[in-house]
This record gives sequence, C-alpha cells and structure tokens, in this order.
Amino acid sequence: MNSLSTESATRVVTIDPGDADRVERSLRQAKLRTAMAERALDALVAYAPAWRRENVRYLTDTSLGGAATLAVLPLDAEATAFSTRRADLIPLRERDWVVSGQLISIANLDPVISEIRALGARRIGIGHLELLPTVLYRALLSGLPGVELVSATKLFDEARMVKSPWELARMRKAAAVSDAAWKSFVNALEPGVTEYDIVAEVESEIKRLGAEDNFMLIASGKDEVLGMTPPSRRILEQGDLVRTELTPQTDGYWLQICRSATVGPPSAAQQKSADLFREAADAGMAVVRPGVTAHEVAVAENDVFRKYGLGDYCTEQWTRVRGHGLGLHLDEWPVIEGNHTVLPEGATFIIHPNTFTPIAGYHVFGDQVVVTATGCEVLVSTERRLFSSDERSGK
Amino acid sequence: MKRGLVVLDPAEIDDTEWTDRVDALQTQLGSVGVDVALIYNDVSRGDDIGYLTNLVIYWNEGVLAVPAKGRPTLLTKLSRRVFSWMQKTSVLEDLRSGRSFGDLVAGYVADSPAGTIGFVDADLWPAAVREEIISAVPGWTTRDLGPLVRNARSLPSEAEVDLLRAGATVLRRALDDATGPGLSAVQRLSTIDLVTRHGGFADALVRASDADGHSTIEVAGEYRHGWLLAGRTFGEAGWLTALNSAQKAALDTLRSGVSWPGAEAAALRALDEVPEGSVRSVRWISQADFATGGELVGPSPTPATGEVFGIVVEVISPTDVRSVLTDTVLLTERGVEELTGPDSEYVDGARDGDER
Repeated sequence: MNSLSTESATRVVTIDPGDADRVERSLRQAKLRTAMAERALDALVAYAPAWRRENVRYLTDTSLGGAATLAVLPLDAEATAFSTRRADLIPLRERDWVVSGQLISIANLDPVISEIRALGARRIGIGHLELLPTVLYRALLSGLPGVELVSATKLFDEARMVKSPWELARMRKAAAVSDAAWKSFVNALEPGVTEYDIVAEVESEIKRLGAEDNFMLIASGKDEVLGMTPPSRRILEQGDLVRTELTPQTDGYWLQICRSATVGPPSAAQQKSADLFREAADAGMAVVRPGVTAHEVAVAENDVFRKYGLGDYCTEQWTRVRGHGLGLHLDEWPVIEGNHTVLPEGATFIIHPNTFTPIAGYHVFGDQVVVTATGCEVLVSTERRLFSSDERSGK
Repeated sequence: MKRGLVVLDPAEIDDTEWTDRVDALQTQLGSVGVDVALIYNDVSRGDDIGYLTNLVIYWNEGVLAVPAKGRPTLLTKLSRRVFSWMQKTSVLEDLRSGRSFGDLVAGYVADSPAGTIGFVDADLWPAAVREEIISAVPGWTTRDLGPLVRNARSLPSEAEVDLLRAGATVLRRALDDATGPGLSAVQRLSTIDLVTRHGGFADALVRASDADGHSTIEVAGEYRHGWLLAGRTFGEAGWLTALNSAQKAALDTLRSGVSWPGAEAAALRALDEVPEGSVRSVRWISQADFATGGELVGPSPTPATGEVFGIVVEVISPTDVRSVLTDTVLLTERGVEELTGPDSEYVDGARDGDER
C-alpha cells in the first residue's frame, strides 16, 4: 500500500491513504471551524455556481456538475451537501466527505433551509455570497427569519491558501499532466494548423491523462501580438511565436504552466525575448520564501524589465498581474501584484511576468511554485526555456 | 471550459439577424417602459450576451447594457487590453472596463435623464451585484424583468438551426468514435474532446463513467452559441434497450402532436422493465438552457413548435448505477427532427474540421 508522510511541527507520521483522506477532511474542517469561531459564525455555507466550485469542492472533495451546489459546515455537526443535479448525489455518497447529499432546485431550497434551521444557527457565513442568485438569496432570507447572513468568501480564500501535504501530493500529480499538456502543445505545432486544432490536441491528451477540465489561452503570430485570447481560425506560419497559458485541472487542482514556442527555429529577437522573460521569472523565484510579501515577488520580476528600459510594459496598459495563486480555483489568493499579503509556507502560485514588449510581441513564461521553508519548489518539470516546433516528437 | 473555437462569421449569422435580435428585445423594452435593460452572464452561462452580440464570456462575468434605442454596450471588469479581441469576435463597438458593475452602470447612464433600468432574468442575477447597481443609480427606477432573451433563444432562427445541424454532425461522429469497443472512460472523454474541438466546438462538457458493466458518456457541447446534448449508456444488461424504447415512445407521442405530459407518460411506461427500486425519469430541456442542464429554470409545460430541446431518459439503480439516453431534437410542424440521434438523416453542413 502506498503511504503518505505528513510533517507536523513536532513529528513525522506515516499513514495509509484511507486515513490520509480522513486526516485531510478533519484538518480542513478544523481550520474552517477555527475561523468560524473567530468570526462568531454558527455555520458556513459554501455556494458554488458552475464556474466557482472551489469552496464546495474543499468541503466535499467531489467533482460535481450541478448548475448550483451548496455545502453546509456547522460549527459542531457533520457537513452536508446539496445539488441541483440528481447525478451529483452518487459521487457525494461514494466520496463520503459529507453525511448526506440532497437534491435541490431553483424553486425549492427547503432541504438547505431545514438543515440550517435544525442547527439553530443565528449567524451564517456564506462563501461566494456575492454570487448567490437573487432567487436563492430571497429563499434563504424568507426561510431563515432572524438569521444573519454574512460573506465568508474571504474566510474560505484564507483557509485554502496554505496547501497541506495531502493537497501538494495531488498538485504534483496535476503537474505531471501539465507537463504532458505542454508536450502535446509543442507536438501540434506546424505551419498550416489552426489555433483551435492545437487546443483540440491538448484537450484530448489531458483528458486521456485524467484531467477534469482545462483553462487555456493561446496567441500565435509575430511581434504584433498584444495579448492572449481563446483560439481562433488563425493558421500557423513559419516564424510564428505561439504562446500559451495551459492550466489543466486534475483531481480538483489547477496547475498552470506558461510557455512559448516558435514554429521553426527562433529568430534572434524571439530568443532575446525568451531570455528576458526567463530572467524576470527567475528573479521572482529568487525572492520567494516565507515572510516575503506577494508584491515583493512582483517587484523583483518588474525590476528586470526596468533594468532593460522596459518598465513601461509592466503596467496595466500591457499586462495584468505578475502571477496569482492556484489550487481548487485557478485564479485565487495570493495575487502577485500590488498585494502585501505575507507569503506563508505551503502557498502555491504561478510566477509569470507575461506581457508585451516590442522585442517579439507578447510573451508568456512562468511556473507554478509552492513556498517551502527556505524558498520555493517548482511543481512542473518542463524545461524552463523557449521551445521550437522542430523539437516535435518523431520529427 | 470555453477553450474551443471562438469566431464571428457573417456567412453563418448575417448583420441583419444580429440587428433584428436586439431590435426584438428593444421592442419588448418599449412595451414595458424600460429605458435600459441589463443582462448579467458569466463564463458558465453566457448565452444571452452571446445571442445578442456573439461575444463569448470566456472568463468571469459581464453585463450587457441594451438601451431602448441604440446599440448595446458591454460593461466588464476585464481589462481594456482584451477589447480588440472582443470587438473582433463580436458585433460590439462600445465596451467599458471598470472595477465594479455599480460604477460601470452609473457611468453608463450618467449622461441620460433618469429613467427605468430593467434586470433581465432578474432571478438569476447575483443579488449582491443587483443591489450594488441599484445603489449606484439612486435617481433611477429599477424593475425586475423575466427571461426575455432566454425566451427568444428558445426558438432558433433558420441560421441557428443550420449551425445546430452542423454541430450535430460533428457530435454524432464524436459519439460514434467514443462508443467503440474497448475504450476506457478517459479514452472516451479524450475522443469526444478531440473530435468536437477539431470540429469547431467552443465548449464540450463531457462526463464518462464505468460501473457495474455499464459505460456511460454524456456531452453538452457548444457549437458557436448553440448547444447540443447527447448521452449514451451501453452495456450487457438486457433492460438497457428500454431506454431506447422510452425515447422512441416520447418522440412518437410528440410527433403525433400530443404535448409533453403525454410523451413523458408514454416513455415512463416503456421503462417498466428496469430493475425494481430504480429512480426513473424522462424530462425535456430547452436548448436555451443546455448550458445549465435546465437546472436554473422552472418546469415548462411542453416544447413549442420550432424549439430545439433535449430528451433525457435516466435510470438510477438501487446500487447507484446511472444509465441515460439523451438526444437533441427539433420539433417542427411536420414532426420531430432528430439532430443527435444515430438515425438522423441529416449529414450535410459540418463546417470546421469536417474532414478530420
């Protein structure tokens, strides 16, 4: 049987996978309950529209497909979950992280309301309260008179920011899928193929490897490219630089890799651009350690551009942020730009100085890292360099 | 996730149709005294904004402001840097970026005399965003509107039906390839993604499972802004043919002009032979609601003539094994056209990647 070692402050414990799951569930619930107690909350409700499932996933460890799902964690009782999709109740039962899974509908939130009423809760924190549809919000208000509903979105964000060894084990598995995704990306590059054909090859490969989903942006062309987009019908040409942000989701965890590749051999300008972005990413990585702020990482990246007189291209006009957290959501805390959050050990984020420069147009390069006691660990194993379609397997 | 082809192609939907769609909404706004309609979409359900502008909400959220007269404006928290792509792939000209929807709406109406703002499909708006906007425009009256755009989308135009047929051709081929013998669940998933995305699908939500000798694959695929739904279970259990019988009973009943309750009853009778204690259901979902599996709307009485919808036959055994048969059909005055069914006669019209 495989085992997992998890390090606590004072000892190393070896436990079997079944126990590891239970330990992880207990750890999450304990973390959330501590935060609930600090905020005088009687219960937490995680609400998940289809595009923000991270908090419900955190409580259920289940891949759900319902258009609206919720999970309830009381301060001192078992967690429960709810979905608008009957099929979701099966994996909820199988995974067994919640004591019950119940069907709800947009017109009938009674199972959730009954659950909360039974708890006698007076003050409830709701994760993604800001996204709760009016029809559900009104149902909660009318079904729970006298109960105070407050946002717990930040509470969930903070709880999820530091990844446990159990989570990091999953993220390392996800990283292997991201490595394979990049390989299939390079293999798909040749003059005459469209951007969306490349995406098809990548999506197919990562699904074959067990990925649940993928967030992917692409941009092909020369130095006129200003930013990343969904794929188009554009046909690749010799000499193109093809950029991608690739983010497969495996076992719930999003794992991003940013790379660029040339169609045919790189030009001197494309190589120069690649060297610049590698230097900037390296500079960001070099400062990462517990106690440093997220913004200091961004400053280190941007200083490299400033050193070469390219500081203007680190502004909002040309780029977004110099990195961001990833975990059960693909753009989570901590944001690496203008954010003075002190980085804790176990936080995971991508360092990507992606931006436009006049050297070779928009360029992307970056790796997801986890903060360690002394620095950071890069999660993917793909080489950190400019690639070329000439390296395609079998060519 | 929406990682497939995004394209604005005037050969598929011409300028007149784009204008007509907005005009039709504006006519409704005029009849209820609304000066500006606001439409909220997010990446998981972006079809109303897509229907009016061809814009794909590929990330986060967006609000479309449609004045009673004039052209729509997109209000977004995304950066201006993506505007050129958005303009290239949509009929939008005016896009505005800001940190909050409240500020964006306040700025949008700042130069207009106070009037009435209507929230389209108000029940599905995030309550917090709706409240933020109401607070940001204190001089304006606000009112909740129903699913005006969703209703319009439920009856596709001739051009939209052509696109759905083209997408269905691709999807049928994907299902043929994915349901071949010897494939594991992940290989079936992989095959569906390969074929549909090479075939020009913008999105493909695919689920596959293997349990108790049952293999199931389900797809909700988006081709341009139209959705197709299909699901298959295959295995050795003899009663699985009852799924086909149930679907046939429903379609035959609809062909004869009987409304949905009659079709549902006929289909359920055909499921009598499924294992005792199973949960059986037969339901229909409008194509306008495929993105959300029909889960964010109340039940509708019966499909309308001209409507594209999915028929979902589902059996969950007492041991939690799910079996499904799902197909997308078009209800016409002459009967039912099966779009994704294996016996569909329509084989022409696939566009992107048809030869792959």
